[in-house]
Amino acid sequence: MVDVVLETRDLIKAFGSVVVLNGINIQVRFGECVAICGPSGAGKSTFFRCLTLLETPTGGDIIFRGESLLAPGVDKQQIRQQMGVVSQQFNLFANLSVLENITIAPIKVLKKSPEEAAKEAVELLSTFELLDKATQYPHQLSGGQQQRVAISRALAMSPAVILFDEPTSALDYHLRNDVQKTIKDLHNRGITTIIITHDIDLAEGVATRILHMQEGKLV
Amino acid sequence: MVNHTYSLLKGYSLMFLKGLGGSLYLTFGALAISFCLALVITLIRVQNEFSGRFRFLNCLVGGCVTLIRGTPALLQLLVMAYVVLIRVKHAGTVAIITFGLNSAAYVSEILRAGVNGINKGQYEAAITLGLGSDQALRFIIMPQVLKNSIPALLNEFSGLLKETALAGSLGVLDLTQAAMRLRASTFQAFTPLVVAGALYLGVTFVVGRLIRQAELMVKRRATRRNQENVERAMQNMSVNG
Ligand SMILES: Nc1ncnc2c1ncn2[C@@H]1O[C@H](COP(=O)(O)OP(=O)(O)OP(=O)(O)O)[C@@H](O)[C@H]1O
Ligand SMILES: [Mg+2]
Repeated sequence: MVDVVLETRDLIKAFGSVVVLNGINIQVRFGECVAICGPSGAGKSTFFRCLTLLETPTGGDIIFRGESLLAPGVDKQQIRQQMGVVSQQFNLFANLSVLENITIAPIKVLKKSPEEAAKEAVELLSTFELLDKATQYPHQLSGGQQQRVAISRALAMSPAVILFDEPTSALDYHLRNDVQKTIKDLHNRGITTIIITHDIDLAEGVATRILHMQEGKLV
Repeated sequence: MVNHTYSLLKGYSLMFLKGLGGSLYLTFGALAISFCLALVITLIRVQNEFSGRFRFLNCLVGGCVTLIRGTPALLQLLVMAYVVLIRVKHAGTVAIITFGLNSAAYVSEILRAGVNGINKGQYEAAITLGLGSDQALRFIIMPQVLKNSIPALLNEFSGLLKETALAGSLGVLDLTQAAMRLRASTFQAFTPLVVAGALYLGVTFVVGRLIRQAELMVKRRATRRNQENVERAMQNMSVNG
């Protein structure tokens, strides 16, 4: 069981009396690329937010690398460092340049030297063909470029797993194909990925396993 | 005759200078208190909003802000002078404290509006990267809030500058008070008021200019720093293969 990176057990999330997640069980193994598809309102984003601890689940458990995330006294900050998150809106830091977006967490959280962090960031940027954008600010980038910066930002923390929420919903057809390629690359590099999407084509194009979510359950 | 005019002019400008000095002293003194306090208030409110901490403090601060915004500044000044700070003999100090507290309520609301204007996603992105809530506010949220709030803060500055005229009622010599005294001593009904008005306008204009210059400077410095960082990183990369 060592190779299970992330697992949920009977995960439940309710907002008041509305039960959004109704017992989710999933096991994601090292190196997998799992896609979770489902119609609007199925609870995909809520699931994503529970996995990244932005919402506190009402019941059940999340096990990440063998440790329960919901046990009392868990260091959430410590856990979050090991999970890369690329959300639907990318949420790049508007006051920081592309380079700084990527280096801030390695510097402030992992306590890397600015030089080392910048060097690694530049390497990431060159793999994503963004080197010429390093000094620019997020509002100067296209949607697809912003997304690749968001992915670089997540990768700079060398996470154990990367989670994507609706990676293609904000993008046009060409960019969508770029993203598909990018995610495939990540997978080929052995990075465990979880993709939340209602884009079935994307799921079929990249995922090693596709799960369907409906009314708060995986079916 | 010439001598007379000269001495009149000299007395005139000396009085205005003193008045202007008084107004600036009150305004900048109050602003210093106001800004520090507002920053603390904003951090409490934002922390409460984003991470649910400081619930009690948040309520307390919210109550104070409502109280201050809901009552006239003149009334606050009188209450401070004759009740709360009755032991403080220096009227200027009383005025600075009062205006500082008063303005803090407004500045904190300006900053709060600034925070609301920034989507919560950036905060969430920061904490999902492993940054602490304090770090997210300090490095990501607050710099943007401050930058976006500059026009409103400038507005507050010019409001405060004019509001300090109320301190005249405690006998503090500010610009308006100087104009009033000159009216009485020179028997000129109009000119002192016009001069005072021009000076108020001039200060607001100059401060606005200075802030714009500072903004540009900060921007240029950031650009240069960025460029240097990237160049150095690229050199490092090519050296190490
Ligand atoms: N903070 C909240 N408070 C109350 N209800 C919520 C909250 N967040 C989500 N919900 C409800 O949970 C349900 C699932 O929402 P969620 O955003 O997870 O769906 P989704 O599968 O991501 O849909 P979409 O494909 O449209 O993004 C919805 O009915 C929504 O109204
Ligand atoms: Mg969603």
